Amino acid sequence: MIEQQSPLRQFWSEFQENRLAVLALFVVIVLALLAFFAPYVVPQNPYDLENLSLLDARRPPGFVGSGGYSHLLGTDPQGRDLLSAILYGLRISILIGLAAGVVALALGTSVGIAAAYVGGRVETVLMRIIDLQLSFPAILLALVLVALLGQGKGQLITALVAAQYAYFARTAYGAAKGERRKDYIEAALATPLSGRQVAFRHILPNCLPPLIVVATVQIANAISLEATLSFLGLGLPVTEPSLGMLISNGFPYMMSGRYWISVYPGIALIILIVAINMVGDQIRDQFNPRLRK
Amino acid sequence: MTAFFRIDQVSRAFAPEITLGDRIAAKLGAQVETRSLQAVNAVTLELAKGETLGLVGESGCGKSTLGRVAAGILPPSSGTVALEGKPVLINGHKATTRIQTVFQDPFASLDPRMKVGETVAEGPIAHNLVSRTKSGGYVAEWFSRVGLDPSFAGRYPHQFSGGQRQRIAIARALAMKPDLLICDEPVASLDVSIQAQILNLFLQLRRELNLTCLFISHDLSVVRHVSDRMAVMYLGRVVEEGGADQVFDRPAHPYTKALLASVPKLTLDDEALVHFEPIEGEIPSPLSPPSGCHFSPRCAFAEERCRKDLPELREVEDRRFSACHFAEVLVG
Repeated sequence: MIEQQSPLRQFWSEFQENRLAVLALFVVIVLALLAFFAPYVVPQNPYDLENLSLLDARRPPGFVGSGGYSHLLGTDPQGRDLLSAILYGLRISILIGLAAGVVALALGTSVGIAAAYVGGRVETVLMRIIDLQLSFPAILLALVLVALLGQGKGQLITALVAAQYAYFARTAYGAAKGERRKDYIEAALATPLSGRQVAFRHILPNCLPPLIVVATVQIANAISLEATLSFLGLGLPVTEPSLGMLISNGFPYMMSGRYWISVYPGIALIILIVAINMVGDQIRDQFNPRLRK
Repeated sequence: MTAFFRIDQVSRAFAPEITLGDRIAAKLGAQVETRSLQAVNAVTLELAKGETLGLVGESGCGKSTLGRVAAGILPPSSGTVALEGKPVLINGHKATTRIQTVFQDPFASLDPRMKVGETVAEGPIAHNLVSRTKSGGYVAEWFSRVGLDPSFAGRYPHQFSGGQRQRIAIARALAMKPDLLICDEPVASLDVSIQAQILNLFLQLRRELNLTCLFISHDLSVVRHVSDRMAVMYLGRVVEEGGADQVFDRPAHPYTKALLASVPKLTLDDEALVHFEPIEGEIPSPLSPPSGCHFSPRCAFAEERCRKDLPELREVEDRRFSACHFAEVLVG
């Protein structure tokens, strides 16, 4: 008899073996906590225009502004404290990335499993649509949608979901197609259990590992896609700058020596995305038995 | 009188799935397989209540396909399957819980991400045989009946050995309170020492629960051990059917005779300690079966007539059926 250990605990003990991944997970958690509790952490609400003074605009890191506190990372062209703006921006980025990732996961997985389970003409039609969409660059699709839908969080999330659900659908379809043929599905159908029960209780849980991997990568992608759209000026309103827009705002001043406006939000974005991807890589390696030592 | 369980003129063909790409490839001159495979061909079998019918044959003879059709997993291409006169499949969906199946590979037939107790409880809960709140005790009862510690219910399949898993699979099937149990090679993937345990468990439960069984196996000694009657399949057709002992002692079809002779036997003769005669030739492709009697190319008794006329399954003696032109000669 093999030692009894819950799958989650076993997963964590394996995860711990990779120190870098643990560090990355720690970074993700710290950034997420900082972003979530931003209002209690930072000196200024950067989205409240009454707090901003144009006299404080474009000041270098360490400048003590009219608020009476030191701007540790300097200020942006509107006189926002950059540290505050970065944490608030992270908050929006993580929120939008997570929301888009989760909705895309749910939608894509449903489409993929439905196609694999039902089969026949439904399968062909759905998967050709997915293939067609995968042949477009995600950024192009998102750009067109944001241009059509207009600005706002809801619209942005819609655009990101539309650009990303196809990846989940492909992954879920492939996994479900493989599971569908296995004996335990036949055994469940022979009982007989309803198609819905078989799909949700048997096929879905067995498709989860690859989907979790895709989900971590796609959340990172959603965040960078959102940053790209904001950088291009298509994301959120100017009054609530996300990381991409902060970078974009500082762009004209790069050459005049005021590097901090673009660079610090950029660093924050890179750290977040790299950390999420490292966690995702470790999860992928753990789910892939061939890569196991 | 209608039989308890009746498989009536069941055929099952598998047609290759021809996609648009295949069609284009065929137009361009590629070899695309378009013939359909006749896995089961006009098979009629009857089971009386409480009886065990053993179904034997080589790999690829269609016995597993027939088992899956009988279990209501696979719809037949033609013919009907009925339990007490009521069809098993209605509109392509299995309409009864009274037929349950034990599958060959216990490593594949249990959901790896579901606790085994949940796997056993799932069907009975879905069909209101037991309430969700009482399911724990119900599962424990079945676990002890199949010889497992009820405390194992919270574990996952990978924590069990093959024999234990097959016990779980048996518990899952029996927890649905079936009248007919279809066993598709239930011991084929187990160690020989475990096979005996599982077979004894099976025999004991069959007696206790008065089960009717369709027992599919390629292992003749196993089938003789558990069956009242047996049917021999060759290339999708039943070639011989009769009481298990009669079929073993006086086979009425050359294929059965050859199959029995091909089982390695230990004899106490000095000259030949190990004695067996393999059947000549390969099993023909079911995509292009030979004309006349399908066994004729490999048959030691084949004559001109065998290569032209396909022999029908006919009653040779009382309740003994054979599909050989010379059955009477063989029975002697």
